[in-house]
Amino acid sequence: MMRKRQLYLRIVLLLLATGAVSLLGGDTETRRPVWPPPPDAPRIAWQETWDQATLFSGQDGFFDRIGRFLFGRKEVPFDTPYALCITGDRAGILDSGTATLWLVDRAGGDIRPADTGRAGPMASPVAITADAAGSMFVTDSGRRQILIFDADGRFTGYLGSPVAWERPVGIACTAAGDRFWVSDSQRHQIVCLDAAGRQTGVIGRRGDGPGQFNFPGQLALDGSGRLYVVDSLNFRVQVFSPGGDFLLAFGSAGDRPGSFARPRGITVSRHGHVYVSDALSDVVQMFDDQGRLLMDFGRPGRGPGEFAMPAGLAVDGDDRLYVADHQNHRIQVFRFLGEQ
Amino acid sequence: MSRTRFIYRTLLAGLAVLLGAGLAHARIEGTAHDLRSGSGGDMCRFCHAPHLASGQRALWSRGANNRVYTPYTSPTMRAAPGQPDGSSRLCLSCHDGTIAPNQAGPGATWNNFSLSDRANLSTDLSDDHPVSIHLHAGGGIVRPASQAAVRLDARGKVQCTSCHDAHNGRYDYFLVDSNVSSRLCLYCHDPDGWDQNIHTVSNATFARENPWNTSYRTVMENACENCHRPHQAGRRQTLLKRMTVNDTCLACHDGNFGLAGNIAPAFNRISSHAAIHCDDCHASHSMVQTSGHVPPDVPATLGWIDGVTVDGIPREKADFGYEVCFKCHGENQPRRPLIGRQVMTVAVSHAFATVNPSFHPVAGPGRSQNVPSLYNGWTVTSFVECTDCHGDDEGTGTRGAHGSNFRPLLARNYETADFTMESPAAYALCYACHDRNSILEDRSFRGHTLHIVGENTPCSACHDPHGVAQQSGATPLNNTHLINFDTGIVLPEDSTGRLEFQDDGDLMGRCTLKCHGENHLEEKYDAFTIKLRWRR
Repeated sequence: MMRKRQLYLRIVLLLLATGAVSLLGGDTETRRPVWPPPPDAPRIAWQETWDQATLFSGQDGFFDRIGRFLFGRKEVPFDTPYALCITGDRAGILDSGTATLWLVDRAGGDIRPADTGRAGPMASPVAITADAAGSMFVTDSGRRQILIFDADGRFTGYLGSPVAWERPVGIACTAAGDRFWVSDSQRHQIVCLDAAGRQTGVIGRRGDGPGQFNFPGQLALDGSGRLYVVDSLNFRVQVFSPGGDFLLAFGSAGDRPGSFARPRGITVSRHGHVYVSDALSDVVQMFDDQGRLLMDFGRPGRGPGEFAMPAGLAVDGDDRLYVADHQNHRIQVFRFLGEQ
Repeated sequence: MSRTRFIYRTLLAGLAVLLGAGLAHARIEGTAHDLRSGSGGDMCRFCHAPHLASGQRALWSRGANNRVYTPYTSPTMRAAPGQPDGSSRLCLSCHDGTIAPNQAGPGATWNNFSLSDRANLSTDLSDDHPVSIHLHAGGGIVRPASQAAVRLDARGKVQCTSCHDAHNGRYDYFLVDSNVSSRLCLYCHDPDGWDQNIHTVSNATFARENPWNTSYRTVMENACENCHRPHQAGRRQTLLKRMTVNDTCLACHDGNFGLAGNIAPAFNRISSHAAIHCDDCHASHSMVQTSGHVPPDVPATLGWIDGVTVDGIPREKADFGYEVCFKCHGENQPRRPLIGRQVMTVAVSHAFATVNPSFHPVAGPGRSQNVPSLYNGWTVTSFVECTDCHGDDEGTGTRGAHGSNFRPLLARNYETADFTMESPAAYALCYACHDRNSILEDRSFRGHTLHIVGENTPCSACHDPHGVAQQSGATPLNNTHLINFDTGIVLPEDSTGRLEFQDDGDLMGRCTLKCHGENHLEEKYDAFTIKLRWRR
């Protein structure tokens, strides 16, 4: 009974939508949201959304989509994307809800799950990074391991000793893949590894002083090798030199721009801009390399440029920013419009 | 309201908040939720973002300077379906596998509360109890009392905070109350028949390994958590602890609790119900352990289970045991006959209709008032249950139709092949109620011995054990006494082409047929003479 009523409702909605689109001419190009709003010069534009429908509808025709709209979606396990990385034309998306690594070929529109092979299912994958060759490195905070996948998405081995971690969370690596930084949130420290996974250094201990951490989370490297650490429960970002020396920290606990409620994802663009997502404020804030707030964008919701507990961030070489919009079950793509 | 009273009240309210905060502070200290990196400092800010008077000046965006983020419940913020809202956002922002764990073992995650309304639960991907959902009373769900330990949030939604008090580590897992005997669950869940349920009252404990995820050690104390897990459930929609219903039941019913209730071996026998689900026949929330029941009433061990009447009408709660069987073996469920017969019954339930010329007394008292062979307490007024014939064969602590080495799931051996040597074992199923001595002494039909011993024909050559359905063409003239010939053994008479039994009254009748090469043409028998003539 309920289903039937819902079906009729959807048919009516579809007819209405068809009419509306033809009247308005479907001119979406000019209505892409930008930030900051006028009168300030726009710096960030919303580009597109990758969700269950857009990612998995590659083979569908028009009527398949109508059918899906009327009769409901086919069950596709794209649940809660938590983190992602971009390597060449490929995106690696970690779905923490289904513990799956999805490989998205952005050119061909192809999407498929990575093959964990003999490693078995992942438990709690929370961060991913890639080197220039396309190898991907995934931290599994549940299994306490770092899994390595080759460019074809096949599991090839573990980074570092399987017993080295208490709760590995963030991971970042150099483009050459010769140096890795891994945060262990339970031990409140950052570990540096070489290409073979041997530990070459450790930063920090629990505390709120410079170079100390309270549950360090996601990590990012900038073009010059500086390390950016989301120091979650100190409500700040700390920056370290390539050698691991403390450089600066910015941010504090709060509900105003420049402060953090639950800082989660971080990435640094080729321009040296630092993006930090906040899971509680539903916002992405943008800082310069000195930690000065440039702008913020996003608010709670599910429209373009709205977030539900955003998590991991990534940038590519074309000034695009990817946001794992965790509880909206999607990735949102933005473009940096330049400094003008 | 006077000005002084207003000030007085404001001060009082402020004092209450301070006191509450102080109390919360004291209870958090030293728990896992005391997230301070040192011993001093403010422990509230980890969840309650401090309200700053002003933020950083945003170099590119003048508008940003007046913004205030809304990290917590806000009347203007309404989550769309599928999104956690309210205080649950606070919990999930740490319990995502980074700051706090989101899992308990490989493959188990607990941050995907992907659903937020009951209508969508069927497509839920989450393996956790849903949060940020409105509570809809009815259908086994009740609204917790306003002063209950389990509370809904200000908008009437279930949140993490309904069961967990992040400020108070007095109970395990920061629960708002002890969950012994699933006290917490029962604030909102009120399953039919729960109070007498074996899973609520049993003091049993495991013999081998601990099947529970709690610190409790009896079935009674675990209650809901015997089968369900609020987090990291195996089967997502119903939050069962294993992937399937049967696996969930067999986690305990595999001998781990002793012989009683050990279902696992039965499911491995030649003929079993392992392919259907335990909850097709058992309502686990209302199963009652009893020493017995009066057939044809539904056994209390099945619980308040649904069924289908002998007439094919579905009912929410079965009154009679056979109605549970008729869910699958009834109307619209054509049977796969093992034996070809004169009158082919379409559905098993048709065979038991009380309008039939003959039937085993399952759905109503039997027709024949003269059945001399009945013994072991059976009389012509007894009811037979499906499970009297179809049940576990080895008697290893379980009753009912779980599994048997005799097809089709028979409680005892029952040979149906022609030329079977008569023995107590060959027809053990029939001889359980029909005294073999009586049969072989020909106290009812005078030709029994001649046929089953002399000619080695099985009982099933002439008798159709369920009944002969009027609906399929059975008549009071030709199909009394369960007579419905096996057409693989009994053939039409050569000269007339007829295959027929005719009832001529009590213990009298005539047959026209060919069997084992011998033709009977209107071959009569009665209580005295026929036996001698046939024994020529």
